[in-house]
This record gives sequence, C-alpha cells and structure tokens, in this order.
Amino acid sequence: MTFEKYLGQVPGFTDFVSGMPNVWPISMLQDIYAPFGALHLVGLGLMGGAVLLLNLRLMGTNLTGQTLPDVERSTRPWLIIGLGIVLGTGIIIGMLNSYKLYTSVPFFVKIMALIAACVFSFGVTNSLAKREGKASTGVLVALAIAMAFWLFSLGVFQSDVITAPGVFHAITAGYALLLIYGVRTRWIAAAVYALLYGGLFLMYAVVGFDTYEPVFDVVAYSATIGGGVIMAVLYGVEIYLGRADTATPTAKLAALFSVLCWVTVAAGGRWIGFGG
Amino acid sequence: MLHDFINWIREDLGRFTEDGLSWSHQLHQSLFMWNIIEGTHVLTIMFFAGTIWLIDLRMLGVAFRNVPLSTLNKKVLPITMISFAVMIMTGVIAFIGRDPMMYYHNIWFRLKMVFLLVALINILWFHYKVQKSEHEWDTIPPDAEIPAKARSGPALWAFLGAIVLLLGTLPITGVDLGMIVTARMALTVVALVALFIYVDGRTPSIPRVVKLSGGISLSAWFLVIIFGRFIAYDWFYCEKTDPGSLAYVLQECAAYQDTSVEEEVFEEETVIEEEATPEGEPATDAAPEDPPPEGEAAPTAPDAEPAQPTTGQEG
Repeated sequence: MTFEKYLGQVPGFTDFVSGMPNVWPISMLQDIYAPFGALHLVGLGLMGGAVLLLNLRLMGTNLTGQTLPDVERSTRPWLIIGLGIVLGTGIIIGMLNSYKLYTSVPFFVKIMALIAACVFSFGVTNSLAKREGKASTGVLVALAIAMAFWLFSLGVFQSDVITAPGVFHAITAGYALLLIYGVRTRWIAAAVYALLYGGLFLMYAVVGFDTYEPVFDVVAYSATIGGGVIMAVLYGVEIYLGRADTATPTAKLAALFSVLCWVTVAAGGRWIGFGG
Repeated sequence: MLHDFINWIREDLGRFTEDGLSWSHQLHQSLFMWNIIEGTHVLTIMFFAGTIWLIDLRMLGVAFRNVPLSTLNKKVLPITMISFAVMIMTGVIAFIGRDPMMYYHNIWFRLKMVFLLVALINILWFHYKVQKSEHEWDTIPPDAEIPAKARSGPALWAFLGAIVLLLGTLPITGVDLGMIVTARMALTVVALVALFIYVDGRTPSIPRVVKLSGGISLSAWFLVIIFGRFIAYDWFYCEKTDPGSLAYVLQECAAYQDTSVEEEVFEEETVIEEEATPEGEPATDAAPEDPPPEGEAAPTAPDAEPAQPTTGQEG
C-alpha cells in the first residue's frame, strides 16, 4: 500500500510529485541533502527522550517524584523542538526524494503512524498528564482516532513482505519498556524475549545468516507474532494488577501505545532505506 | 595491525569450512538480518540520545530545572545505559555485517569513533571529578530568577546572527566547496560558543564546569549521530578518493587498496572452486540478490539528484 495507489488516479498528481525536487527553493538544497538526513535523526532523538519520560511517568514509573503536570511541562518544549526538527528536515528530505517516497510502502506506514503519534502526543497523553491521568470524553475520542491510524499502519507494515520484519522494532521497544516498567513480569519478559529473539539469532547463526530457506522465514514470522501476543498479555497483567497510581488503566495503555507508535514512525522511516 | 584484524573479521570470523562464508559475508548477504540489526541500532537513538540529552540540558540549567540533577540521573541514567549497551551491541554486529573494511577506512566512521571517545572521557571526567561537589549545585533554588541581563544581550544576538548567516549559506552554490564548508563550520562554532555563553549567564547557581561537561556531552553525541549518518554516503570512499589527498591519507586508503587486490584474488579462487562443484550438487554459495533497489525511476527525472546513501544504507 502506497500513496501512489491512492493518489495516482488524480490527474497530474504523479507528475506533480515527481517534479517536486525541481521546485524552488527545494532545488537549491540538493547538494546539502545529507545534513538534513542527519539532523532528522537528531530531532528524532530529542523527541524520543521527551516522549519516553512523559509516558513512563504516565505509566506510573520513572520520575515519580514529580507530578504528572510537572513532567508534562518539563518535556513539552523538547517534544515540540524535536518534532519541529523532524518535520522541517523531513519535508525537505521528502520533497527531494518525492517519487521514491510516493511509491514506498514504509513511507506510507511512517506517515500513517506519524498522524497517530501526533494525535497521541498532543491530543491524548499531554491532556492526560495535565489532568493527572484522568481521561475526558474528548481524550477518549482522540485515543480512538490515534489507535485506528496506528493499527492501520502496523497492518500495512506487517502485510508487505519486504517491510514486515520492521515490526520487530516496535515489539522490541515494547519488551524494553516492560523491563523498565514491569514489576511482576519484568523477568518473564526478559526470558521470553531472550528465548524467542535470541533463539532466532542463534538459529540464523547456525544455519547461516544468508539462508533463504522459507522454513526459517516461517519460524521468524511465528516468533514475531507470538512475541507480540505474549507482550500484550504481560502488559495486561502489569496494568490491571499492577501498581496503584492516579492514572487510570486507560491512561497507562495510552502512554504505552504512544511510545510504541513513535517507534513505529521511526521504524517506518528506517525501512524506507531498506526497500519495500 | 588493526587493519589486518578487521580484515580477519571480514574474511575469517565465523567461517568454519574452506568453502564457507564468514559471518561478515553472511550478514551482508542476509535477507533481513542486517537490516533488523542496523535498524535497531538507529532506533535506539530515540532512547539513548533522547535521555542523555535531557540530562545534559539539565546540567546546562535549561531543562527540568525543578528536578535535582541527582534524581534525574538516578531515574533516567539506567535507561540511557541499557540503551547504550544495546546500541553498542547492535553497532558492532552492523559493523561486522556491512563490509568492516569499508567502515574502518572511512573518514566519517573514524570521526564518529573520535567523538565517541570524547563523550566517554567526558563521562569519566564528570563522574570522577565534577560530580564530587554535586551536593553544592544539585538543586536549582526555586527562587533562582534568571538575571535580567541574561535574558537577552550580545551572546543571544551573536547566536541568532550566526544561525541566520548559516542558513543564508545553504542555498549558495557554485562556490569553492572547501571555502563554503569552512565558513559553515566557523559559523556553527560561533553559534555554539555564543549559545553556551548565553546559557551560562542564565543559571549562575550551576558551576561553569558542570555546564561545560553538559555542553561537551551534548555536542559529542550530536556529532556521533551526524557522522554516523554520513558513513552511508560515498563521498570519501577510498575507491573515489584521489591518492595523496588529505582524506586518502587520513583513511589509510593505500592499505585498503592493497586489501581490495587480495579480495579480487580471493573471489577468483572462489569462482574456480564453484565450477568444480560435482554435477547435480547445488553450489553452496549461490549469490543471493542484493538488497532491492530503491523505488522506480521517476517519470520525469529531476535535473540533479541529491546525494544518495549507498544501497541498503538509505533511510
């Protein structure tokens, strides 16, 4: 699924997209494409820290000595600056590579996830934090919209044969958060992750990293799906039986999905380079 | 000696039989494994750089002013350290799996390693020297107002001026590349120094040495990311660098070229061995396809293409 599939029928649109690199002032920036690509990563990093700390606090861990509104106030400027860098550089990179991105599945995934992530950050988690973790009707509507976009992006990610392995990044981030956040399930999560994905790595080391035998693809695919399901169950245990905090279980889930959604955005971006 | 070691990693590490492939070649030819490892390496930036930068910004007195630095360190540093461990682990595997000799003889990789070292030395300096007096400046007093003269002033204007000039140089083309790059680097340094002076004036309760350590960390990790990204571009690959040029010398390209000759001999031998494979037996080293090419050719190609990373390294 790509933007070309949806917008390619609009008369003249494909020519418009492919001509973007020649449009002034973008045409003047072709020689300095690379620094924009590097700055894009810097913005992602800055934003990642802000997203992570706020959402961990919303999940009831990490900066627990500060109130939720305090943490939200402290992280907000860096979230906005990081997002500004990411969007600013991203638009330039995108216009310089317009046709490639127009026909790219991971780019489509990235944009769908980006819409979801922005709604999560500015419509859901920030509002939840300001209200000490209590969800209003408006927040719940925003959450539903964000979830729809995010799940759609994950579905597209997983459905394309070239990009499907990229879902691994979101699952890994989920397990990493369980290690930080989990109380009852931390070590179960570590064991499951090591068993499933360490096992996969060992399997490929034994049969050869360059193997193209389909049976190993099936094993890897099953491990990815299985790992995702187990992770969801472990979060269920943590959130519903876990630590007491002012934030509701809905708020904690929203915080978790917000982090994973931003990871999906980044993973989509990285997999543009790997094809698909 | 290091060159020979890297070459051993590329050609022999994990190669258990005469006609087998090393782990480096296996990973290079793998369908997804290298992508997953390298993708994880890049994505860890979100957790690693994001958290360490927020601590650095707190050291500069810019972020989390109401949280004691020791509290922030205690809560956030474990995430930073775990992310760092993952980043190093995946970075080493990605290094092994994508022609380690190319990385070793690449100026951007070498610069990345230099600034990684600077960042690590800075951590040791902070931990064993600067942090000893932490109790004196751990908390920014709640009533600590930003001095009026620090709200604006020459440093801020110098910073803004340098940034405007820097942005102004971006569209300039047709000028000597060395000159324009030098000008941009000089303006960047001016902007950073001015910004540091400006930030320094805003929080007098934090000693300058703490802010310096925070500034060094922030800049060093910034450059590690920037140079890491530049590795993907082939501007200074040994094959494209003029012998005798500064880049050629700094990258030790002469040694790289020698290895390339050896590699060609090795490839020829491999072809002969494959031809000798008994009839009916599949060749064990059938070359898989390279990573798929990027996109399709644009219907109307732009007049000039932007510099593109080499295949498989884009993003």
